Amino acid sequence: MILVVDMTSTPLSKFEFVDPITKLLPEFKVVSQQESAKFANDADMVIITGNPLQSSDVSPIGFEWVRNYDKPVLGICAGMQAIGLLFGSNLSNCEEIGMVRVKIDNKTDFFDSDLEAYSLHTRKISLPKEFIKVGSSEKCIHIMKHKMKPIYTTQFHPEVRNIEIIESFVQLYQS
Amino acid sequence: MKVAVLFSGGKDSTFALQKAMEHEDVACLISLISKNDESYMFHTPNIEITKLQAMAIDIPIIEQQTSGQEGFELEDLKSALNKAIERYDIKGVVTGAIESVYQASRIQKICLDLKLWCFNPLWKKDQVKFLKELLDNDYEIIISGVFAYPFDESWLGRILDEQTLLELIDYKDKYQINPAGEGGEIETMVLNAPFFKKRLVVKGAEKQFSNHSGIYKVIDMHVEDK
Repeated sequence: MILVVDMTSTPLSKFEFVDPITKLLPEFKVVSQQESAKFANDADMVIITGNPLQSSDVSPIGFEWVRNYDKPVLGICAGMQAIGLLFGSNLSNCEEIGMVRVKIDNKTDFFDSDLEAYSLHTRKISLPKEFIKVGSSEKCIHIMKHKMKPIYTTQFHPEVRNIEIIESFVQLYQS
Repeated sequence: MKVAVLFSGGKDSTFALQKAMEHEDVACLISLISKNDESYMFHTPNIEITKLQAMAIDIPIIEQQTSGQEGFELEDLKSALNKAIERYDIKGVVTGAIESVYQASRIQKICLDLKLWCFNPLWKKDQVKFLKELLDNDYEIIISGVFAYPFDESWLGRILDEQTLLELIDYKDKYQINPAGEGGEIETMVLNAPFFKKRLVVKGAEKQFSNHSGIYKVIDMHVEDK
């Protein structure tokens, strides 16, 4: 079972930020950020979604369990920012809306070539010391991975134009 | 939250309107009346019909003229949104965008500038499943425009039913046509939906067709009780 942590706060946003991900998954359960700790241990892996531009800045509160979690996690956009903040990142302004070119700085697993990806964000995070920078645009880090754990994050939205990333993540770790 | 729905009268924006009505407070529709038949941003066949559709749905509509030229269309959209903010105090905008990153990102930027929420409830929806959902929900839809091979004139004015859906799926398999028209291959007009208070009836129309491209131009239409 794949746990999908829904970072949206309005009903209409779920159609846009959660459903395009869940339709790619074989078996899933959707929970809120606040509920995620309760369900994480029962999951095989976790995907944390993005949310609308107008949403408030993300908070890492509720994600403390990720620090001690050894199963795979994929954080998308707001999910990346929440994970970054959990590991000590700073948030700063960075607007990217539309397609961006993401250059791969360090190849890893299923990130091995430059890509065009859909971005929808006004903030970016700094690289936490436990993570390596995998890919970036001209403006910000777009892909990072924990040095020791299977935690991946993307600032862009792979569910829009790069579904193979989500599919590869699921296939790589599906038991 | 009070929202405006960008409305062209086609299946996508009408279904987005239904979703918006289920979850938020729809204050008004916004329709861009484009003089440009090949608008970069907005669905163009029969856009004048949106006023009648708004009447059938019983929701106010803001109609904004636009030249339809790239660059200017977005300024016109911004003007329309500002009118909606002024008249109805909207806090968000809903669109029927499904796949177009071009369209979605431009509207997102405008919403960001105007500090409006932007909702796209049809985003990345499977096209065949979407068409089936419309039929299951008793939508009455006609094909109002075709713009790709191998569509011929017989498609204009055709009702979207099970048979039409099967043929669209066949075209998808053989010719890579997007069955819901996401590549601009077809345009539709909604005559009735579950949430419509009245339905629209086409009394007269003419087909303008040439070289696998054409529109079903409605000349006479009225609103009648359901």
